[in-house]
Amino acid sequence: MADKKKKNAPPDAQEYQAFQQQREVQRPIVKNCIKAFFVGGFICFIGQIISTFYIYFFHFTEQTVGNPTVATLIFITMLFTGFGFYDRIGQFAGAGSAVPVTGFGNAVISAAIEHRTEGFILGVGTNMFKLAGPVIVYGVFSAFVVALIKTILIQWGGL
Amino acid sequence: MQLGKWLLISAFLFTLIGCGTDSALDPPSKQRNEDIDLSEISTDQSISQEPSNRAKDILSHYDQITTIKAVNSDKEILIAIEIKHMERFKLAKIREQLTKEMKEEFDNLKVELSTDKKIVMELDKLEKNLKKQVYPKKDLQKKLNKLVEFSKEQT
Repeated sequence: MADKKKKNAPPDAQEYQAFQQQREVQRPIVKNCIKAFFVGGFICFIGQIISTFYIYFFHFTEQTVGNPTVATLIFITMLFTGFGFYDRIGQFAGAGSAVPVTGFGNAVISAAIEHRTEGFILGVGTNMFKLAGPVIVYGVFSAFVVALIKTILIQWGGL
Repeated sequence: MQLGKWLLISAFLFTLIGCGTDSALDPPSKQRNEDIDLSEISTDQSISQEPSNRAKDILSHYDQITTIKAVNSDKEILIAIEIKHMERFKLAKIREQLTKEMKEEFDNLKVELSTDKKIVMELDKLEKNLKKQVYPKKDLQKKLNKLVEFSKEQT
């Protein structure tokens, strides 16, 4: 798509693009990946500590411990977002801090904080799920599609 | 761009390699694995713990297992195992295979096999209590029933 557009562009624009591409600062993909890997891994490590804590000291099995762990992580993220600390982590780690459930929490909470001045209903209420809404919509939708495929495979495929 | 392509291809290949495991368990060795954390419980309880001890004996021949706990009533037996860390990739398969084996071994009992850490801990507690005191039949049954239900709890 993008290549086709480039070919149709006037020669001046093409020349400019070549010029621009030479001087553009390259995105450090490998470095970003490593950062994201370690910070994301560290967040998951904290999550593992929390779930082990719940297994040892409360009445949860490995099956049921997921819910309180997620709730705790999101609660911690809420505090970090409110104190402006999570933004720094996000700036440094990128996807490493956005992909775990803490990123989802941050997306909800930062939107809520941002629109607080517009009032509780039309500000916080309408804007809270601005970024998290698509996650929920497509999460539910893809779960539906996968369930449909599974049902079809089991019913007619004899899996 | 070039790098991204290579990353994608290698990720795909690693996924394929990771999926290519066949039998999850090594065949049982002839010798008992002495590193396994298990303790036989006395058979002079109100309900003989002989089936539990037999289950431990059978399972202790697998090298991948690190902990075995088991307690039985006269209707059911609850076994909890832990396996070596790297083997956890095959956890579901191993659990399935061992459950099948145990079901064949104890066809007169209802067999529950769990790999859950919490169940291992709870069974350990119960085993220690069984060593200290003799449980009335009903109490043991009740306790075991509760644990079996607990092990099946879903979110």
